[in-house]
Amino acid sequence: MAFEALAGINGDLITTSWIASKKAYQTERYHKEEAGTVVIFAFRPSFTAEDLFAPANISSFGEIKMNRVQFPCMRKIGKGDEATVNEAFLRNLEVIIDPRTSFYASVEMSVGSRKQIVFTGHSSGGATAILATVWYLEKYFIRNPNVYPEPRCVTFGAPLVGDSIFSHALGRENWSRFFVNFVTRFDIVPRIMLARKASIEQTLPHVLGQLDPTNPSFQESDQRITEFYTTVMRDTSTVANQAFCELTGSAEAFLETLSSFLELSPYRPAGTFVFSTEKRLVAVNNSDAILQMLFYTSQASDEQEWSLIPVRSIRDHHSYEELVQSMGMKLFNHLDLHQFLLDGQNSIGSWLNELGVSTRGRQYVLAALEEEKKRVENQKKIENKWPQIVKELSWIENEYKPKCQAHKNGYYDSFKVSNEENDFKANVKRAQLAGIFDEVLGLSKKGQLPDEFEGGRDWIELATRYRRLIEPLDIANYHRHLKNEDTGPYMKRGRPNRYIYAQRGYEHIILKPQGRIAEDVFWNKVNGLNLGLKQEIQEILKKSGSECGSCFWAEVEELKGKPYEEVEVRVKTLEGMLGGWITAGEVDDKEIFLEGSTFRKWWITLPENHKLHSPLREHMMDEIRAT
Amino acid sequence: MEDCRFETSEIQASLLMSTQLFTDSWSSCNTANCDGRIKIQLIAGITYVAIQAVPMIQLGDLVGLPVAGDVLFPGLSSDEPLPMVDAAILKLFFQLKIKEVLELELVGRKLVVITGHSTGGAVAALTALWLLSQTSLPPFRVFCITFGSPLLGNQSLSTSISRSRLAHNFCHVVSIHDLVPRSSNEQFWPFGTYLFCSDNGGVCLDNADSVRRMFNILNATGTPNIEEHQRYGHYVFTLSHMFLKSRSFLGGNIPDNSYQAGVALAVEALGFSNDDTSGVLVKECIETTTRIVRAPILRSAELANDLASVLPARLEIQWYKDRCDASEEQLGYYDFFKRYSLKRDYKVNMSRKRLAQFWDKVVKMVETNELPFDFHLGKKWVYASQFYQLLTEPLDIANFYKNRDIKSGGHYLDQGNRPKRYEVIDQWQKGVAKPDKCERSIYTSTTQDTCFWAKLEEVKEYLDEVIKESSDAQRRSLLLEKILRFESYANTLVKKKEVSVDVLAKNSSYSVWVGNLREFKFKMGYGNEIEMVVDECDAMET
Repeated sequence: MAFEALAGINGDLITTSWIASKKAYQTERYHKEEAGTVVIFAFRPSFTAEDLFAPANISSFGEIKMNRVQFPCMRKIGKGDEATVNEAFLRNLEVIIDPRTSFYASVEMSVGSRKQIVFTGHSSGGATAILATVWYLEKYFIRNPNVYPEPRCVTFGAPLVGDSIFSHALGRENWSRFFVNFVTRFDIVPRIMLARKASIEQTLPHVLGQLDPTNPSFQESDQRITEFYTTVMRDTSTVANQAFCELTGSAEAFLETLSSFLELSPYRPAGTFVFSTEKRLVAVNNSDAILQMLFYTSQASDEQEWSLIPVRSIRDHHSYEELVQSMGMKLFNHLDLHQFLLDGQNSIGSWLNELGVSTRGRQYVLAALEEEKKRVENQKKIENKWPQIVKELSWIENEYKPKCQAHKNGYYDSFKVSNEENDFKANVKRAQLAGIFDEVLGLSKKGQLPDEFEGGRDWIELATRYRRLIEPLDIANYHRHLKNEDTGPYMKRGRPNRYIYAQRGYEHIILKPQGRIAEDVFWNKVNGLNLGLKQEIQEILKKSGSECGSCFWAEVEELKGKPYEEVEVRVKTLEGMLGGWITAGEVDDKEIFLEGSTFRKWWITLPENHKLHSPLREHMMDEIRAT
Repeated sequence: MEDCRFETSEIQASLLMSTQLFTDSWSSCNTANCDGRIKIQLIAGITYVAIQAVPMIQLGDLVGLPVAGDVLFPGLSSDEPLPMVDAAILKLFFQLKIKEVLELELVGRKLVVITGHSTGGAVAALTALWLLSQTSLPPFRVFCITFGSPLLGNQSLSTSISRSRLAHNFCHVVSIHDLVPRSSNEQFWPFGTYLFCSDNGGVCLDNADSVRRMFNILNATGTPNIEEHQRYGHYVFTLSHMFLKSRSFLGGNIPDNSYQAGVALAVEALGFSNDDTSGVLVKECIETTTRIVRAPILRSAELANDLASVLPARLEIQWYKDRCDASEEQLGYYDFFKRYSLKRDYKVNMSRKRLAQFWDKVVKMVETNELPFDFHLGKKWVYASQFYQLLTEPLDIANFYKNRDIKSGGHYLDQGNRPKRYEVIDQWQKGVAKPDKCERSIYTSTTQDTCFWAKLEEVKEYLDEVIKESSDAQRRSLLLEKILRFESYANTLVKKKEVSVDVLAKNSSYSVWVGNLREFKFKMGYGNEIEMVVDECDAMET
């Protein structure tokens, strides 16, 4: 069997993981095993309803948002939405990773000796393993990916843990490859989380009892199991169909209306899934394709098969032992974009056939894979526009800015007045760039780009250059047309999303290795200025231009018209931030201190006492001497 | 067939059929039919309003919807010819006192499903339409699902619903053997999504032409069965369990192309065979409706680029306006453009036309549902369209009055003269939360009332008429009232600094008119103290 599709995981590791997972049944929380340079942590599964749905959680699927401070990478960078996970699973993890536990000490020790860690588990133990892996990635790995070994996560029949943002974030950070989930064909557990809590609540405790491998009494014919299976499959079908319609963008309006009447599970597959058939193992990475497979592999082909499936859906949860044992004899195939042979012995078509996927289902699985291809194409299309972006930016940088500086008022003020032919030209370029960046934004918002795109360093750097250079022009334009008067302050009402997204991307790259989030860093800095009571200051600075260096001008415009006493805190914050911005390259100090600049002209009007103690005194020396 | 890779008619049907919504709707209908009265119940957070079927009524007579006075559907965009509905259904709607019942029952609800079987379905559709086409949208979501319902209205009704972007709230479940949903009257027209079903499965069609085509195919091939109309319970049960079993393809070799394969499967879902003539017709019908040329999301992302490419035209006009404002002639860009004597004016006219073309295209794409349904709510487009309108509508007005045939006497604001794009943009702006009013420190860069100049042109004519004394005294006093009302309205705008400097330029049409009015008042000995008492705020709202 060839495992090359699974990065760094081989048959031995899978076997060891399974054995460890079994040993964990008898433990209180986890079982630890060392095998050479690898340390394995296997988590104990639970078969009580409270451990699947947190009792205090009132949402329809027992879900909760992940904490941003603890899991800073688990979100969409641009939009800022945090990933959603199952609360019961998360709570269970929290108990395990408490710094007082032996688990925590063991992980610290393994990290200290640079050993590779494998997290594993059967059933809900697999869910714990997934979250523990994410925890390890955020706590250790990200701080220094060159020093800490990559973790691995191997699960057997684990329920789904997180939503599409969860899976997106893993993809973006290139972490998906660490997760391998084994699923036997009819196993109900990987599908349970697609059902509404309310619809399965009644039968769940009973079914969980049947699923427990340590429970010896297994009943063959059981109406409650049939009922449970039918309910889970109905909801799985709804989720899979809805997700497919959304994926292909068909019947958008109808779908949106209909969906608003449905309770749809937020959970989605993340990482690689390995489905098993008699002859082979089929690995799939694409989350959308896996979702379709979760549904279509457990449909019945005829009446007779249908009557047997509910029982198999329980029994397959116990058949990982056979899977692991027979693994060596099976073929291993990877269902991906490059394997587009539809017919013949060794084709995607025949693998899916063996998995019992119908013609219809096969179409949807393939379509999901094709969508991935389309996302890659979209990215290429954008990358083709890079030279144009660079060209326009260079013109602003090398032609427009120096010419304006020669007039001693800088490009911000020159653009705001817009008296010259060059200003007109700059405006056209601003518009063209806005078009390109808005197109990217539109695609990324609707998930039409590969997961990795949002985190790509090159793209983030280009977007940062664009934001620093062009946002001042947008601010100038906004105030030139007095939009601040009829629409509201730029920061509150006028700031285009393309800049907000670019800012968040930049912050993400900078702060990721430190495991910090931008808000905290900002408020730390503000608190460091010692301007007064923390809460009051936070209230005053809510949505001020001091949040981001490229919005410097917007804040200046806002402060300009107001009496000093009213905005003292904001003025001081702006001044306090400015030094850092200049060093980081957010604000160009060659521009803002020019003689004719709006900023300088306004600063001069500030009260003498303020100016005397201002950190900007140095830059404004001539003025101070003159007065 | 560019980008058309998936056949989507069957998955929509599968989605709907697998939901609780589908089965709960039917069971509500069933209860309503048994009880013989409207059934309202709450199931899992959704309010189901089921309207009972009333047999023995004579269908087939169309009657116009009242458009003036006590309007039933004020929010429905009504073009010529008049939307019409079945007279018997409309009568039933009033007889059952649905308005009165629902006004009380739906307070505080979040999700409302209106449903019904047979004639009850048609009344349900009319009810949902009534809820959805009030001047403001209801505070809850509405979904209408009917079973074996007869057609409700004519083609004009169908287009109005589609243009008002309401069609996606309707789903009609129809058995392929049931005759009731197909009217023999050619004037009746379908709207919304149709779920055609057989014992083998279902297929959704959402395009009125395709639905009609399907009706025709069924008329030609099916064996009519009167009992079919009562078999929806059977269909709902069968279809709602369909997800459990995979359906294999019956007709031999499945096509290689995944789209073709999808269509072939959909044909079988309706119980047809891909090999016989009627199956081929069904196949063609499904093909036409599911040809998604390109996905709306991509199209709207690309539109951002198109917008950027016409932006130089807008900047050109902005540039033009600034030059005019600074000119020695002290004439705003409205009057410069109306005079149309310089080469510069010609160039600006080209820009005006380019922008008009672009926005006409956008408006049309929105109307034909080629863009994401929430496209016009995007901040970017709300701002861009508003910016465009503020700057350019005055030029369109100037252009209108420059070319106007004085004798015909029509004004810009008369029905049909104002370009539709502006009316649509006005609609979009309504959806945006207005910021708190704040005081302006200087005059806005563009006049906030984009029709200011059109209103001025009207009162300019009135003033001329009054001065000439060519009409009778009664008309003159009427005109004078309008003149003074505008005067006070304009004063308020100026005071609030909601006009741009071009309005106040020394030689602008407005300044000239104000001068003329003052002179007239002086001559007539009016003085300024006889200002009319008018309600300033809504005096000139249009």
